Amino acid sequence: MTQQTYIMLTADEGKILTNGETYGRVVALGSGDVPDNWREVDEAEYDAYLAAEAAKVPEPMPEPEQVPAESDVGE
Amino acid sequence: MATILENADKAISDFNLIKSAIAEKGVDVTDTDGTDSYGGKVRQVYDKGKADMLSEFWDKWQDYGNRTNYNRGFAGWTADMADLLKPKYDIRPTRAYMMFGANKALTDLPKWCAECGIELDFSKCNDFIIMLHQSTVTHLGIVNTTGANEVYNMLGSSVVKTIDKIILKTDGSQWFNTYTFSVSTLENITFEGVIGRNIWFSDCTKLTTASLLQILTALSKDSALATGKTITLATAHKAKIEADAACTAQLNAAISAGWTVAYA
Repeated sequence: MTQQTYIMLTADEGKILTNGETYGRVVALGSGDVPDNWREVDEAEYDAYLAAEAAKVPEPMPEPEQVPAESDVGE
Repeated sequence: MATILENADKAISDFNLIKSAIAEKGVDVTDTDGTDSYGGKVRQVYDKGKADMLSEFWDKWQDYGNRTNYNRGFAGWTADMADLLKPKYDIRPTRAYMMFGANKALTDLPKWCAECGIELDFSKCNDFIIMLHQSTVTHLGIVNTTGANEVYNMLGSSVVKTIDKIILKTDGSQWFNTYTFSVSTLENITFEGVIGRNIWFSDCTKLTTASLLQILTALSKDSALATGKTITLATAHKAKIEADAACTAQLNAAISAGWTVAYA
């Protein structure tokens, strides 16, 4: 029988964990990762992050004369 | 007043003119074809003209098969234009920005390609941004992304349910972002190649266990690549992974290699 142990962090109610790059309510730390790399933030911060990411996806297809230049689109 | 003979000669002459006109437009009229077939042949001329015009359109639009810039290529086609959307040549884009954006004429890209008798080959493509944005495409075939260093926002706001295969580079060097794959409708996906950068599937709550196994298997198990990287899954995936021995084994191998697994 093979057993593997790793550190699992779970955010408190209304909170979410982040390492500054990614977010998770439950986080299984990889080998080499440590709890100190993660901190709890309010869910509102995660919502703001998601909104910012979503904003990088352009809005509905504009009329041809209003199509933005590719340089206007994020990423 | 013309005699019967003169009228007959005139009719024969008129029919010969019609026969010549039909033949000139590329529809065969043989000496044994009765004049009562001419009506049908005139209709054939019309249909052939339409087909020739469409064929010429795709010759020019696809540059006789040499077109590579498909930015917004099929964007905005409406459902009632589906019969006209029949490209003539293989599609080998180097750029696919919003290629099918807001396209409401297509749902199944592999089936569409088969019906058109063409191949959709992304292997040289280096821009997949919002390729399916707000389209009705639910079935994406094989997407070879090895021509791109960054695969950003590929699915964007789409309703894709099945991706037959994503082909990645084997060195795990490609970059992804939140919306590369993360759409709520995605259920089925397979991978070839290696995931070696942060990657997100947190919105893909409907992913099957088989798809999760594909994802976890594709994560690089080379600690030089995996250490410090994070895969973000949906909270709903945790129970599915834990209930499947193969998924659990791949998850454990990924964590041992250095992957942190976040469930958002």
